[in-house]
Amino acid sequence: MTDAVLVPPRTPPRAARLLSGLFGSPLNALLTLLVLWAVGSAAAPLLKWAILDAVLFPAEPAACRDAHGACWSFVVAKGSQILFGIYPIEERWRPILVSAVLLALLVHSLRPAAWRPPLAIIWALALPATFLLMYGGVGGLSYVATTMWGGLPVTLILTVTAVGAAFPLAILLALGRRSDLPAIRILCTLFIELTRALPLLSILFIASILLPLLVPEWLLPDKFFRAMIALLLFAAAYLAEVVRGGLQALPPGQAEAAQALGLGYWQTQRLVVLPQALGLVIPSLTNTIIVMIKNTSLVLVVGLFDLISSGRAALADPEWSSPAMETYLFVAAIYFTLCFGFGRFASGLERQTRTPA
Amino acid sequence: MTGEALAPPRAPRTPIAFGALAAQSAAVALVAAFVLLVVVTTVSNLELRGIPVGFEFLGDRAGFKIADTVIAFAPDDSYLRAIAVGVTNTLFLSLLVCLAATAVGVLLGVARLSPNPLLAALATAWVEAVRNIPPVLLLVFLYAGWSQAMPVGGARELLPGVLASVRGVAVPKLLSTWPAGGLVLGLVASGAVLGLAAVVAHRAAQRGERAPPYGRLVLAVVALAWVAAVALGGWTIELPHPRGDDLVGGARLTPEFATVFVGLTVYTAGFIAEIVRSGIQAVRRGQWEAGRALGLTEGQVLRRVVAPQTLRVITPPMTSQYINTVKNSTLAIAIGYSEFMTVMGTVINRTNQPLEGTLVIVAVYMTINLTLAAGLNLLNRRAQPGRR
Amino acid sequence: MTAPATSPDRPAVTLHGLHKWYGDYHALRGVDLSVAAGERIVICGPSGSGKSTLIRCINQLERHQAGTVTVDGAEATAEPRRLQAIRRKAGMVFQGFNLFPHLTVLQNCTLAPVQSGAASPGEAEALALSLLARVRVADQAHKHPAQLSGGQQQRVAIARALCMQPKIMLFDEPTSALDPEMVKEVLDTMIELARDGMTMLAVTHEMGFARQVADRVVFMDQGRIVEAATPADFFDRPQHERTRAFLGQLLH
Repeated sequence: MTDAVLVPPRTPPRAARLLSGLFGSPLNALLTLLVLWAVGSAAAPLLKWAILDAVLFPAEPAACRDAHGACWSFVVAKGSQILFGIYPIEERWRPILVSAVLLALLVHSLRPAAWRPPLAIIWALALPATFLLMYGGVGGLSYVATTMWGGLPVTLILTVTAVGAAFPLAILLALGRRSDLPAIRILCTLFIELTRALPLLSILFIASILLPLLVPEWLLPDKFFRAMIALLLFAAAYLAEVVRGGLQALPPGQAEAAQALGLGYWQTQRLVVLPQALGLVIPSLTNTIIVMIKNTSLVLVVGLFDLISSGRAALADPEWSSPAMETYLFVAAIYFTLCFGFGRFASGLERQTRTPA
Repeated sequence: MTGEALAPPRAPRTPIAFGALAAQSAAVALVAAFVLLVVVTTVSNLELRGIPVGFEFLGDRAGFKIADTVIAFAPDDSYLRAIAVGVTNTLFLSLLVCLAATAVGVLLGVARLSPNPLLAALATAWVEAVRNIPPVLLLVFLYAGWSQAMPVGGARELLPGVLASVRGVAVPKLLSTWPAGGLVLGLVASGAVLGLAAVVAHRAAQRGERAPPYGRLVLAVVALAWVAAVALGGWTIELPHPRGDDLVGGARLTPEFATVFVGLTVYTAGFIAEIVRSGIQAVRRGQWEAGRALGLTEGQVLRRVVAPQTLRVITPPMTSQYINTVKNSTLAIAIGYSEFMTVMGTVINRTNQPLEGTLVIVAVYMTINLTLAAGLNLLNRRAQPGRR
Repeated sequence: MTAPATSPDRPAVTLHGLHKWYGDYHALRGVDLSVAAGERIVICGPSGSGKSTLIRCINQLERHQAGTVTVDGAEATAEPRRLQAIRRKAGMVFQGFNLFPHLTVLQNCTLAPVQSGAASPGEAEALALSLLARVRVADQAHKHPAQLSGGQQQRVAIARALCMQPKIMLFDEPTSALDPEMVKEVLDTMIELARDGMTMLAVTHEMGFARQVADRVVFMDQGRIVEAATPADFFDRPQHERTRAFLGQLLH
């Protein structure tokens, strides 16, 4: 017997594997050709419209009128209006600052390393500061009513405040739903199930039309806050179910050990159960946040200016030819970036937390 | 060693701590006080603004038109009928979307797992696109694109017999020469026969006998009977044709309906694809390997071993996706399709009775939700192995 | 670790006419047991006999429906503060260790003393370190439980329970989840604890431990105490048929 070392066959290079995947078997080859033909015949006119014939500069109505392709000049010209609504142009730095701060806050809060008491303080300061900055009226800032707010800042403000304020409520609801006390359990379950049974749109609608009846005149929040309350209640119910999933997934031995050591109920929840339960459901939490970002687009139905309705408002300008598809593609790109970026961050986070300490 | 004679026959109730009772009473009292406060404010507000209370408005004349209807509606009909139209529109739309999206979604989910990288990439692109944009944006986008996609002053043929123009879509309509009652009778009879065959087959299976394929046999017979009846009974198919940019003949669908249908189907299909994909991947690799080791082909393994297990895994998330679809149908309000919420909006506007309107909205959605959840739960339990 | 002094005539644990149902299932059918201070009891029996339920009723992780449970003179009622007091007097070690994975070993030990107000953070840390040294895992103090072996984790669990300075230690099958080579180190720790005079009730299958350490061996079957005797009497002269059957299965 020789001592020749046997070398394993070299794995084929990437390109070769790709080709075999595309054309390896007759079925595959047929599929590839079919797909290429379908995509090609659909993509060709699309590319022609979107890029080849499209107009980008100059950002004037005249340029679009003569063009056959996409009118991207409109997006260039009206981009900031779509993004920030009709907020006074010279004060635009305020919604920009607010958007950046809120986004950073959200990203920071999802990391378990940040889950310490100072986080609650940061939230308690950041949320009112947001509104202060947007409203103005103090400290030399000019007053801007909520009817002028629009676009990306509205999306972010609604998402972050709804989710942030709903979170403590969601934890209480989740604990309540698992409580041994029947009255509390029933109340929490009723709220959660009722809210989850209704479409968000109907909750927004009901909040808009019903609150004026249920609440005395002087206490009535304006349209913006009515929508925010609706989103908050909705988020609380869904987040409660996510948290409950985490509570159920945690081995009961943890709570038992804490109880056996003589810790009381709230001590057990705060120090042992919740940190672990929440850590288990970070993927679901981020998913819910992405859903809430998308859900804020529904406020267009109750007359608030999120990205979509800002786009619609911009389209109403009579000087331009109303390039609706280009506008909505632009808005879609913004939403996609937000949600996809968030999702990527979340999966990165999940990979981090799964490695043992 | 122990007091067996003292043992009570059944478990006495665990004594309740006083603290727990106090906490619960406080919670209930708080909620009750809040509710009372709200009620008092509402009543005073109602009086202040002279808003009528009660459901008598349901019998009043509606006085507005509804463009898309599954059941007939005219402005002279009552509000109650208008609401019924809204509900049927919602259910009709949701049903169609669920069917179409399931079909497309299953294909898409399988495509994502395809060894062909191009197909997998396209499927992934579709799924990622719909997961990261709001559905209402998709609807608005499609609606805006409708008029741009349609030829000016004419109609385009999408499929043989299906025409689309700026005014809407028309599909071929099957005209029956039988009275409505006869049709219903025929359907009921077929359903009864099929049901009977299913029960007989099920009983035989339970007894462990190898039953002849009742199900398929009876189905074939019933189908053939229908085809013969339709052919001999003189049923006709009415094809639509274009007239200008309008369409004549056939069954008409408004652009709003077509847009919502296509948009929601595309959206929901992406989520169903994900459910199907994770369902297929959830079946342990060992199952595939065992099947192959037994000499089955890939297709046989998929059909006989993996697919049934996949079905069990995906049934719960599918049911919640279907319930979600019903909720998503409310998005049609953004482009003007008259589903339930749109109609309720108009009704509340005209009658100025938001309280009663809210109660109707909540009642309808709770009913739909509970019925769907119960029905799908039943399906769920059927899909689980070994449990009754 | 010396056992804290209890009044010599006051028993550490008294169970009187204890009944426990899970729904319709009658798990404990009238149990009477009295454990003196400093006494070591080993409870054994087939699965389903109610041994774990019994132990868990002592520190009220399970609530009983009839009868009384008295720990160091205090009767167990449903009142939360009473429960907490009892649980501070009785330390428990679980089969699955149940260490808190998101805290370090040291933090696991200091959490309860600090939170209950029994000690300042400094005092708690000092006590924890000395106890961790006692069970020979002091060098792991700043690691997380997942980084320790099973035997080390269980020893940490013992130290954690001891940090509350309990009067009684309850063991619920402490070695059943351990790989065989780590069982000895945990049993040795328990033997040392017993030698220092701690009142112990241990549910275990380790009969060698019972022979060496126990003052009484209690055999349970179907929710009742069938036999309780000194190890010598229990193993060499079992009185009841069921005891003999059980021992026969064990000591093949």
